[in-house]
Amino acid sequence: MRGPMLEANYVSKTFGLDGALAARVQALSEVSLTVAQGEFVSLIGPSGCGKSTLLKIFGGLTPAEQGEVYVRGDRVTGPHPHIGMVFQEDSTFPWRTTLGNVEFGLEMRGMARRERRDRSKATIDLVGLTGFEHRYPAELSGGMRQRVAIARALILEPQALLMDEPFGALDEQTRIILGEQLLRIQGKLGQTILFVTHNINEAVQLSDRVVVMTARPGQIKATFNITLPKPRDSRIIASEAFGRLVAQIWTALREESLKGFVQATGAQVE
Amino acid sequence: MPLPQWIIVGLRSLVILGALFALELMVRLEWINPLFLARPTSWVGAFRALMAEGELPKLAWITLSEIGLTFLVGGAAGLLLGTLLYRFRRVGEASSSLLGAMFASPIVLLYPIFLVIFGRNRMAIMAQAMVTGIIPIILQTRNSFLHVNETLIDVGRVLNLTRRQMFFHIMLPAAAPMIFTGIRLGLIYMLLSIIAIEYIVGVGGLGNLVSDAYFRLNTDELYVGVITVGLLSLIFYTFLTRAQRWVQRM
Repeated sequence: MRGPMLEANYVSKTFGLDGALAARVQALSEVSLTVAQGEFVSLIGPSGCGKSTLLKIFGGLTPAEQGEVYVRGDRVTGPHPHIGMVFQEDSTFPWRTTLGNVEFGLEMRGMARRERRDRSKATIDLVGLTGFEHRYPAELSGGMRQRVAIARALILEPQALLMDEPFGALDEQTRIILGEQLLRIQGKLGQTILFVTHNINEAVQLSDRVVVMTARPGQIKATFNITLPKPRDSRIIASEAFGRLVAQIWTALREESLKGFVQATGAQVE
Repeated sequence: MPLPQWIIVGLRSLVILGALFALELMVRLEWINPLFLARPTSWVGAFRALMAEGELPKLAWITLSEIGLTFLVGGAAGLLLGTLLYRFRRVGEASSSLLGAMFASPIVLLYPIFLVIFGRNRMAIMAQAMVTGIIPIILQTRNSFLHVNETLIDVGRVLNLTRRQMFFHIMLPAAAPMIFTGIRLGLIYMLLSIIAIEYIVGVGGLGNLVSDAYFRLNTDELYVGVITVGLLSLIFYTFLTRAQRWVQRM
């Protein structure tokens, strides 16, 4: 049995605690989650259910109000050296080339130029961007920029990768192809991945386990083990088993999505 | 596809030469009164005469050194104050609207006060120019840091960067384009103030050259002064563009 890489015990988080009572929003309520080493877990839930907040708590970017979070058994009190993060928004540095972006972390850790160049080129190759080393982000497509961000996180060899809707801003086809590449990279490097998404197909395509969260305050509603064979590629989408899993997850998610919709818009839905 | 650089430079030169040629023609044909607009060829004559007397280099140096010194001190102080107002949020919030109001007012009219404080000399000119030009630098520096993309800051936090690394490798290059907008604006205000007060007070510099030429109805010299001011402005602009590239590559 593989030990836990990420562990959250009864984590709660409320925003606006220093403001008026009416402005307080409870994002998470007593969430407990364990992710084993090398596992790919997707968090899915309605907008505003606290998925990204949970990811930021794991990443040490925001503190939990209650409960405890561990990375490889170390209690999280700030960013952990074994954690890498990829964000939904474009996070590449526009003033650096692909190479400059990818080698950034190594440069900050003081690695010699030649060594970090070699490692950067290998990582750029891993994400399929060879030939674009000297391009600036403005000269790359959205999908390529996300691959630069993934390479920048991977080069530091994190044991766990936290990905906050990394393909959320991309078109469906690019999303499927990048998902396939991500699986290939994970198969090669064996990282633990906690992946936030809104897309059920994406969650099923990529994950070993899909965790469905409730509408705000976020709690874990159901967990689905994805038993589809591995290694997987995007052709799995066409299989009957894939369709069944998507339907099961949507059944669990539908009620929460409706609640989330009402919370966000105030509109009633039949 | 963008045009090659040599074609752009060539086209730009053609436009300038064409405009000068048209001007020469219009003044020679007296479609324009030579008292209002001197011929480009006569600018060359006036330029040569002023160079031979050593007057133009002397006056240009006075203005250049005034702008350089004001820009150096004012720019550094503006960047520092802007950064401090970003760092100390409450002080920044309290003072930014006040600075904005000052920026909108005609501060250049304070020059008699500086003349009283410093006397009728270059120090008064530089102090006045600094006060005028520093405000956009302070305001824009603070705003630039406030508007750095939160995701980029999170990238730095995840990488456990030190405060120094975070500032020099993320905050500063991310804010640089907006900061340089403020610096350019500040430089323009400093330049305008220096030339205007040199013109009014008459203690040397290119502004003084222009005012002397104006009062003597010497249109040729007047245009030499104006063009030299334009060239100085171009030098500073080029310097700033290069400095921006350098900061973003740090």
